[in-house]
Amino acid sequence: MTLLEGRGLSKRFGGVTALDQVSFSVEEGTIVALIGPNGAGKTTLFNLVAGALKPDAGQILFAGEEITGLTANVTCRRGLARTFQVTRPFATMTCLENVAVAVVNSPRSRANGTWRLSAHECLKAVGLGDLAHIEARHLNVVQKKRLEIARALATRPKLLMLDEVLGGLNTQEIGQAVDFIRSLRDEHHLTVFWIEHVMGAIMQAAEKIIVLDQGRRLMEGSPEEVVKDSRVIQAYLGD
Amino acid sequence: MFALAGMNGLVIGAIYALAALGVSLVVGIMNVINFAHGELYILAGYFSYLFANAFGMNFALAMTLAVALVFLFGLLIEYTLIRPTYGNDMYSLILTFILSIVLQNAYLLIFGPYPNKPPNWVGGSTLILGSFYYGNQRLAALIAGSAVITLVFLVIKKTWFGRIIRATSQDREMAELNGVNTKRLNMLSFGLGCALAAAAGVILAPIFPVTPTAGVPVALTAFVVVVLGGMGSLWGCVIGGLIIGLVENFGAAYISTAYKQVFSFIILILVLLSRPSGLFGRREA
Repeated sequence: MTLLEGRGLSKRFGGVTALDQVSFSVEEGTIVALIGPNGAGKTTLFNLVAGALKPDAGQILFAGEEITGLTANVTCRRGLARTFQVTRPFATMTCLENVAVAVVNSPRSRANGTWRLSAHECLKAVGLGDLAHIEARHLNVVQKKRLEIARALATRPKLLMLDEVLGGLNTQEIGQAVDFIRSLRDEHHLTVFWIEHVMGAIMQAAEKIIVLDQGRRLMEGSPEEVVKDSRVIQAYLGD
Repeated sequence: MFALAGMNGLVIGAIYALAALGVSLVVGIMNVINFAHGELYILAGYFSYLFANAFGMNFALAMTLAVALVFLFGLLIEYTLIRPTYGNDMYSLILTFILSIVLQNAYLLIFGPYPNKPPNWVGGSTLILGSFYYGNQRLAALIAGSAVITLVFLVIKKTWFGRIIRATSQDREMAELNGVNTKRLNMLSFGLGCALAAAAGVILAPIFPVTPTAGVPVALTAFVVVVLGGMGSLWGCVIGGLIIGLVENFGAAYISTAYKQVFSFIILILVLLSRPSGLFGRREA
């Protein structure tokens, strides 16, 4: 079943066409990767879906309902969570409080006292259980990324959108992160929509890859199909 | 005289802190400077005067009702004047400035230029440290002011609403992505900012009677306190308020009452020279 679908999405910034008639679909329960050279429009696509930007044309459907142009807090409550390329924790709040902000705003969780428990659960799920009372600004890069994911989980999403979570990690950490994202998907019944530059990780984890180039959808297919495709190789390496 | 000036400084300092917390809350969440802050402070004073003197209500009930009404008025201001100006801070600045002039003239028309005073809560005086008698009303104001400030701290630090406020003032977009309805939060925090001005107004009105323009120096001082304490710092508001209150009163007692306002600005300049982001301000990243 299709969880997220984009139909003919276009977005222009002044004279620059960032996205041009892009259609795509993300099936429920899968890990779908979004790749493409720099400037291909990947983050713009995320911004459209998550409600940070409004598309100039096209429709976005989530769980069968149209969410085009809805604001971020509404899409969040519908079950759509995203993380950022550059982590943005609430720096002077503790990890627990960071997650609590997301927990209390998620549907059906404002009953008194329960937030502490479920915020703790989210932190444990990403392995930050011991750092609950540390202020977020003291975390290292990997921990901040985990916190970002914990916050996303706390909104009880159906769809988790990850924007380059592996950037800045070493090879060993990347391996762990891929296992982690897979386990998240399995344990929390998530669907993952994932922008990534680290091809090795994508090849291991993704069931489907969507390739963008210069604002257009170049192709879509399994990891094996994508790496063999001459258009993809050309887009990345040039002629 | 030293102790007396000190007590006066604490009382007025607590009120400044309260008014500054209201300014700080609105600036932190919405990046809007409410120039009508002082007029809302006065409005609450007039309400409590009206309810207690003309309608014969109990003073506590009159005060609560006054603060509640100003809170509702704040919500209305946000909805009608501030919300349409989102994205342009200059418009809200001008609109609230106009609002302050309109309100001042409305007060003048309705209540006249005379000082109006709600009834005292308590009478008599208490001997402080065996050295001087101090009005019980002022002591009560100090206690009430401190209680409201403590309440604000508890709400901001300990409740889910406070966490949402802190998160949103740090990173608005991120808060929205975590499900915070920032539009509604804007309205609420603007109302609360006005309510804090109102709380300061009803507490101080029995001591310093309200006149149509009496809010101007209070609002001005509240802005000074916010900058002195550091934008976005709650402790900055409290410490800054107390510093300004004490400096004003010591200055008035030992140098001259005519220069009361000058002292606070001298302190502000001295602090900003050594700490450009205020006493407790975070340096801009």
